[in-house]
Amino acid sequence: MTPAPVLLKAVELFLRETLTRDAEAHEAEDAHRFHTRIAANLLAILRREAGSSEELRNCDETIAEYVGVAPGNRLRAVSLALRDGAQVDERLLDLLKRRTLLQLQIDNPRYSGALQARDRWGPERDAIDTND
Amino acid sequence: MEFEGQLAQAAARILGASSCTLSGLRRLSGGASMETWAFDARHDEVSYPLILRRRPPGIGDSQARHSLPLRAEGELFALAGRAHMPVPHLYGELKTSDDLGEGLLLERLSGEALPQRIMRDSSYAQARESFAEECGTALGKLHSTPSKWWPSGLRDLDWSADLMRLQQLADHFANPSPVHQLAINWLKGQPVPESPRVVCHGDFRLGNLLLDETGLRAVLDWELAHVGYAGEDIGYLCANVWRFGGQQPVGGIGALDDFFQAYRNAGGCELSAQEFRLWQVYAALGWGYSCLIMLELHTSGEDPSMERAAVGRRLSESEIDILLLLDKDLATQPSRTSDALTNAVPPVIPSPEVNS
Repeated sequence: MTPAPVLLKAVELFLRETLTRDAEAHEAEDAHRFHTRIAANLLAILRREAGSSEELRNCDETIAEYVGVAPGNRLRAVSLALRDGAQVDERLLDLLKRRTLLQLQIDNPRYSGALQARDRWGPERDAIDTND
Repeated sequence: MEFEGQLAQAAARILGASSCTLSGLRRLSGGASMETWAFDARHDEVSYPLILRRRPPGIGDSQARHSLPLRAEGELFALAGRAHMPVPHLYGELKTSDDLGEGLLLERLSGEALPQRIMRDSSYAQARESFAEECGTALGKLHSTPSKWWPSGLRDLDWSADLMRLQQLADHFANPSPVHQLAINWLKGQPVPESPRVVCHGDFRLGNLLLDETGLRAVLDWELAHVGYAGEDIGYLCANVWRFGGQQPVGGIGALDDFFQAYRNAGGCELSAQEFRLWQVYAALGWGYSCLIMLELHTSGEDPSMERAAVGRRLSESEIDILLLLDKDLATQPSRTSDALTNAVPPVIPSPEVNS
């Protein structure tokens, strides 16, 4: 059975290579080419998410446990705890950095901030061990 | 009557012609609540290249909650023209009798607004050279306009009220980001900004600036203008997300020294490095809220376009920029464990060496 990420990659390539090339060959409107690129980008996000969602979930659980909030909507609970005065230490900050880098790895791994963060803090997979 | 016929009548009225014919009518951009159209209107052998910015009648406008009425935007074009900023000429406004909704009819200038082309195309090399200086001059002129020129009805929040607005936005969007909350908390701990209260453009960045090969032609997209602190526009222009991957602080292509020299020469204020940093954090947080607003527009059905959904997925860009800017300053107490990251590498978003 073809795994979901492979299917998504196939459709993404179709959009990027075939549809975009056809659009350029037929001098399609800029908007058409623009939307084709966006569609391919969204499929790429889904493909990356399919491969990383468990790691992200584990990271969220670690953060929620460290802050001491109940299971459920973990990120919201952490935000509310911070809003209401929960203290922040470097460990929590490191966990949030790791979480953000994991999310960016899915959403937009080529974003300049992601590249800068990796330069500063090291590759996200090695940055922090969440299993302690 | 169909849209094109109505528009021809409205254009003739605004241009002071008995009638005119339209050609090349095409929609450029915009969602359901705001449209931008380009066309040429011809009258007596004279052709007028035009832009219509329009909010169609009968459209739900949750987007309008976050932007100016078009009438106020029109007044800002007049203000900017009076201050000798480069802006398109405003020919006039739609009337209720035009039955086309709210709208502004503007001169259509030639040039390029796409950041990637401006940043990479060799034909814009000269424009890139003067970019920081021209931005400094334009913002210096805007920020030194006397308050008696300012349109009424602009959002005008002091620092305390603005911080409350940011928290309310976080709560409205169901507090999705701990990093955003850390940024709000950090902002709350900062002194009130010292830069003067001015008219802020509110979205002054590559993408909203029209350039040709020689330099800046026009400052566009005034719908987020408001009364605020001068530093806000500067921090925004230099925000990482609006550098589009470029290395230089001013829009990714210009130097801060060039910007500030021109800004001060045009009447702008001094800005401390601390306040510059504050406004960069503010801009990064603002980008996060822009993403959430786009997502809300999409999910509410008001603007279900794919672009809105895509922008809604860019929240993590704002989060990483906040973390890079503030990093260890966000920690309020020692770590409970001893595995903190080392941070030997200098800040990647450079601290400005301005006015120090």
